[in-house]
Amino acid sequence: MKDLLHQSDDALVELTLRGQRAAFTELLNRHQGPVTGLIYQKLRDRHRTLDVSQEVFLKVFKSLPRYRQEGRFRSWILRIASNAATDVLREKSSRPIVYLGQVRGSAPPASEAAELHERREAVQETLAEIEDTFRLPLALRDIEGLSYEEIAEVTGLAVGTVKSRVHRGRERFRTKYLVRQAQAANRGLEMESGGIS
Amino acid sequence: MMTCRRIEETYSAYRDGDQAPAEREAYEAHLEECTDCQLAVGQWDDVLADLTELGGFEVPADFASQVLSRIDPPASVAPTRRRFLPFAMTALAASVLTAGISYLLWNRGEASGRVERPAIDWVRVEAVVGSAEFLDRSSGDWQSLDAGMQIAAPVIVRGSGEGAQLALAGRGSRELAGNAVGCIEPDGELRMVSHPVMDSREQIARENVSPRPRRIVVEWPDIRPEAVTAVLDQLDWTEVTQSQSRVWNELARLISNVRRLPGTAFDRLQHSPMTPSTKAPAESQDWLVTGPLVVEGPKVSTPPDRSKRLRDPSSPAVLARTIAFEDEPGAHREQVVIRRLDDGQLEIVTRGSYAQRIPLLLDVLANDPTVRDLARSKLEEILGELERNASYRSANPSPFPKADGDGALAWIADRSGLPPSLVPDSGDREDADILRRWNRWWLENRSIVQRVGSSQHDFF
Repeated sequence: MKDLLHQSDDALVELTLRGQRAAFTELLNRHQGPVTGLIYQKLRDRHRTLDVSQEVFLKVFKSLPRYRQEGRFRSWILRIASNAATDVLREKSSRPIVYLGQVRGSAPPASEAAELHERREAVQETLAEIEDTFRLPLALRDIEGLSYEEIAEVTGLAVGTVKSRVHRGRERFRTKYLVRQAQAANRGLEMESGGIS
Repeated sequence: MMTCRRIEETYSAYRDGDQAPAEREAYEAHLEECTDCQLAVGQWDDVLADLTELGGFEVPADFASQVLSRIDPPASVAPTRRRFLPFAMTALAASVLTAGISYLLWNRGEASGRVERPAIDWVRVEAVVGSAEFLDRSSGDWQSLDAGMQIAAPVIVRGSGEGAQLALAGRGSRELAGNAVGCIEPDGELRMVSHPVMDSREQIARENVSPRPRRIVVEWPDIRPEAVTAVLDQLDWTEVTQSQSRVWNELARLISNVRRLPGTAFDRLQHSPMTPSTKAPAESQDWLVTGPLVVEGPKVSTPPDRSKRLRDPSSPAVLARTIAFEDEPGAHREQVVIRRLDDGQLEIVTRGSYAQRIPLLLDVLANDPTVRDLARSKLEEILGELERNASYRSANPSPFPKADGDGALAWIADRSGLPPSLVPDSGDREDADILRRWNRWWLENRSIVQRVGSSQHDFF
């Protein structure tokens, strides 16, 4: 059996349609990052992101027979994800789901260096401060690694508009991130001097 | 002539390689000369490197298995449904349920012959964590289980969901793998049969679920704590199968946060991933790890080049060759076998969704004292929980002769008047088969499902 890791998306789709579970698993592993990332950038809610992402993959699985194999699987699945997230945003009132336990966020990993954890938080919080218009193209480009053409396809924007928004998103991110870093450094210095006195 | 301002303005195009050759040449020429711009571009690069590395959404390690467990082939890819039959079994096996359910107790008083009718006829769903489904016996399909529904008992439920996992993880109950088939007991208990998945008593007790269930009993039929202990204490030889996989889930959660490990864990690592739905090994590899071993599992936020390099068997860090898989095909859907070989090396054979995690898990356990201690304490918690469950179980014996599907069917036959011809005569029937038989009987005898409005809630 040929290694699934080396198969194209379209080949994996074909294998899935022939009943190979492992092929769909590989598709899932390959695209869960961009799909969840895109949805998260739209919803900014970890729990909902995971729920919606699950639904997206279920929908993708059911829709595979209708997928036209043109080598653009990632764009196709991301469009589905984008539409699903948009639908959720439109729903003002969701179904009354009551969670029995306290839903845990992503707890600070015990083994992860504190400094790295702080940086991660700073990045995430900075991202959250950026307007939606720029955040999504920025994340798709610099976090998920999509091409400008793919982003245009997913978002429905012109390629030129995407480029402009990515650049402006980068500018905004850099400015806010550096300000945040400077503030953190100042706080550190203040604490240090307070400790000495 | 490229100016400093122009450098700033066109950084994105430069970074993306989106400049005309002449412009790029001018850009780089200016950079060579201008220290300020070198610093500025370096700062740009650092900031965006942080964004790329740390800005991604952290996908839980078991996200893929959660999705796969919800795929129900008969209702999905129509042209290939026959091929997905094993898939359906796997989905059932991986199903997970969390539901807070309150009961409408009503004795119908229709006992016929020796068969005692269930004392509970209706179940009202008060809360659902994650997503859950119930078996609609009128149609034979699995339907979404939502808060506010009222369903004729006995109810068969299954489900999955990150919400369930997180909620449970926050309260110390962790298991989310294995079958989750719930039946309402005649005395008002919700009993999880086959491969019970969790202990929801605490969760329900702490929440304002009203009226409360009388009691929820969870069976742990085949967990062998000694097998778990062996993993950490001796790393000698153990076998972890379905219901024990919660331990691996927990460990995987711990170790999934370890991104970079300082050294190489093993000189040799036999790693034989096998997909659970196949009868024969999908692929088997013998990996010789010659460099630092960092395996991320299904998470995708690592820089693509590094991730690809680590997963690529042709990488100089990982040598792969095919070996025979000697285990009995199809014996277990999920299996992890760890063995210390005579020469002191570890052999790991995995099947199912854990294949990607095990190398990192062992790496951490073997080499990182902090994580090892954490993992050990987590395991001790789990073992303690198992002991508490055992105590609870001994004080509250199950009516099932065996805590598996056969026991459930016998119980169903006994309580609900299932015709004796439907009682299985062998001990190895799948739950799905049992459910189908049960469903058929119910289909012939009752109309089952109704949705109720708030006006009927005074039924309590």
